[in-house]
Amino acid sequence: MDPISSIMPVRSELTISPDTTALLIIDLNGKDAHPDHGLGRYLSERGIDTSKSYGRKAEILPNVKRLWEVCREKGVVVIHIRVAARTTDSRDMNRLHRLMGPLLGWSPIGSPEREFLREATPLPDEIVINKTSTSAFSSTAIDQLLRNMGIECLIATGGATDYCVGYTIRDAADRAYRVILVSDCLCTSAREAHEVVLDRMDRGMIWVKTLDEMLQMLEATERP
Amino acid sequence: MNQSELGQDPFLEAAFPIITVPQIQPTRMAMLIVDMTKGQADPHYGLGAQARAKGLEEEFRGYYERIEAMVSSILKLREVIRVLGGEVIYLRSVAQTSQLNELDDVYRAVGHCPGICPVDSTEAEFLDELQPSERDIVIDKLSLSPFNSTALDQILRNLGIEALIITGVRTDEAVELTAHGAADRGYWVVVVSDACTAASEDSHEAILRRLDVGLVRVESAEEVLNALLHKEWKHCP
Repeated sequence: MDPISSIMPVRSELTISPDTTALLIIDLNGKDAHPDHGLGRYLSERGIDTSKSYGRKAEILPNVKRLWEVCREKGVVVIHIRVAARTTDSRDMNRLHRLMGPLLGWSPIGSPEREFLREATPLPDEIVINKTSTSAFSSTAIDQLLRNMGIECLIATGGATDYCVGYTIRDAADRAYRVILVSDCLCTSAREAHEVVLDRMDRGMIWVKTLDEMLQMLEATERP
Repeated sequence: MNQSELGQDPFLEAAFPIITVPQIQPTRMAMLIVDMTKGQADPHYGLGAQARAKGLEEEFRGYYERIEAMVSSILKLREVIRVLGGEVIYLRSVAQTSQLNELDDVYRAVGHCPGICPVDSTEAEFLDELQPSERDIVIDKLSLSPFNSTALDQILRNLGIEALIITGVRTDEAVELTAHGAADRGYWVVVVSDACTAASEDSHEAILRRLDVGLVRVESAEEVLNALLHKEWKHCP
């Protein structure tokens, strides 16, 4: 165990209320999550085997869907987040995503990279946030939006645990949101083991739960 | 491409293009010294005192030894940056009230920002060897990342800063989020590998590997000093 964790206070059990909770579905669009588009296309064209990583992404989709359904039943706000430029020439993007180009970085309007996966397509009246950075807190009004809605707790799903999801939710935690990482609704880059990444984050304002644990927490709440 | 010994991700290795970091004038650089306060970096205070009270001194011994070993590198870098006309910015985790009232109740209770302390405490003082001069800027933060509770971004833009050289503690907390937060906002970033450290060496190594993509470069103090003095950055063509 990391020495810092061993001297941090013991946390009491987290309780949530649907009306102060939001589900974040992060980067489940063509750029990062579909084997035929964006990153998948770029790598396949170079003869790199993508099956392991996209396999994992495919694995989590039914879990995300199940959690999403329960969240909707309970009245939890659903927010879809992706990296996408608002200009046709990417001049509004942050430097990194601009340099990565349209296929890997900024998902032009009308591109398959920009579109959410079929299984992750936002439903009517759900919120879509287009970010021009890795963390949603670097380039969007998400903080204000969440405060307007009285949201205190965020449930995080999607990818990658150590990049787009990780940096977004650590900024959220840093701003005093309670964050729940649902382990079997997330995928991590292959640089580190998924469990190691989650374990390191599981402290302070960030809790790690399995899908079953998350569903139990939701079932235990009253629908508003 | 960036190499890592453990866990190569073909996506990251192949997909992140080699981004050409431009030559940047030292007057447009700022050195950040993160959380090098008694409470965070001196074994007698703050986290160190808490560790001792819990009988966990041994677990923290390596952390404080690594900190001691990196002070001279920080001092050298600071000297060179000052001479070349760059900015030196100290960041520390302090609240203005004795009971840390500015923090959210749960945030305070769970200790999300380990080592945060009142501004007039001994824990809030910088290490004796690393006292800021009148010209250096000191910014107090209430969170791990200064981008979540300070005007650092605005201040850097006011100063015309384009690149940051980051040192201090801890690699896997404030340092990582400062480096990433800066890169996410378009700054070029160099994290000085042997001028920062974490409580866990494994975490330190893993996070440096994770950071070393895009606009962030990880280099040793010697490489950075050499680059500053001879204008030969390892990562520039």
